Amino acid sequence: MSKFETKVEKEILVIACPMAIDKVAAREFFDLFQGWMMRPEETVVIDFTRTRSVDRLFFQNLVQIKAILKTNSKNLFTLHIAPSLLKEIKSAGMEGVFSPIEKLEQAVASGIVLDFIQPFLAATKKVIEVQCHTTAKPSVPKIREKVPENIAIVGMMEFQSKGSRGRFLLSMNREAFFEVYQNMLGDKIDSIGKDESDAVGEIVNIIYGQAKIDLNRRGFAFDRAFPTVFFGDKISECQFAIGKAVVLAFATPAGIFEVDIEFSKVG
Amino acid sequence: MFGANTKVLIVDDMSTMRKLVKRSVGLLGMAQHEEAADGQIAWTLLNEKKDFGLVISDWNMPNCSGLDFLKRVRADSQFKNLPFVLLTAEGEAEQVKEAIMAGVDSYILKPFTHDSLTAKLEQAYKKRITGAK
Repeated sequence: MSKFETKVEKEILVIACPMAIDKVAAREFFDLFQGWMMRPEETVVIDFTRTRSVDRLFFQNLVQIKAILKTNSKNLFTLHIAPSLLKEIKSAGMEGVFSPIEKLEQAVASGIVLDFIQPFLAATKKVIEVQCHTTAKPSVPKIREKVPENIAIVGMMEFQSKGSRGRFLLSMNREAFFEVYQNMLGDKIDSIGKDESDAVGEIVNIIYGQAKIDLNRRGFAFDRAFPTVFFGDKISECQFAIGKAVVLAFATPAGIFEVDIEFSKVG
Repeated sequence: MFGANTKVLIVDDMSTMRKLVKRSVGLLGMAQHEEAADGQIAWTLLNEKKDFGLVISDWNMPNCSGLDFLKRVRADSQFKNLPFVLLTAEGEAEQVKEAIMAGVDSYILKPFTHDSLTAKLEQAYKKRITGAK
């Protein structure tokens, strides 16, 4: 029976390690990994929750495994490494190989971050600051856990390319939207109608355009798309991907807005 | 630079962007303008009025895109020298090249500032009106 237990959680392959990883276990891990590589999951997390000792051979094997995964566009993270082991890993300069995380959710977010989040984060900040003359301070990416509250308006862009598709949502509360609108167009508003909602559509359009330049440089081939805007009663029609979308919150001087990013491979 | 007598045709499917452009050209002294929500409407306006001195158009629009509109403008002898600027979120190298091949005078990438729009309009003016490269 194998010392390593596997399970799939949130579309991530989680490999639980034994209490001690000696040379025999390190070799077994490397052998088993050839099979794990064939699995469809794009993110692999090695769970060290039970592990207290690790032979150096395992470290060496992991360097190779990380390289193989990278070549196959897969991500590797390690979960719950004991402080003493983490210290050893850091002193060996191997923190980058292990990519330690504290929660599985971080792997979901980080898995997408590599090629997908960064272009949207940079584009959102730039568009809000340049076109809307509003400072926007981003938070750390996290997974969407519940439907956002007090949202006044949502702009959505769905897009696809051969083999992948994505969705981008920009949600603003009233304070943030009124501030952004006034800074962008010079008009003070206190309600949201079709004319005002057009501004969110244009912001989403420009953000997607900016992000698309960056994404397509990274090997995607996303095409043009048109935004959809929801406000008032229509907000309920906007479906947030709980547990799947990565959400970035931005603070403006007046309020908060959030950006949800979803990405999946198709076909 | 384009003067106060220059009548501008602003083409964009988003009213917000038309408003932003209108404000910017107004700051430059160009008070005469008309708006169109797509290339088809713009083409009809252009043929009806025939007095526009500058077109500022979005690319990504339903019915008739900014690029298709540009191609129609350049293919018509009465408009082939009309200054035409694309103001768009489409900024990939292939797209810029396609627009240049179609005869665009200047290309403004969104997001833009008033200063960057002014500089691009200056570029279009020099290229089309004064013939400078």
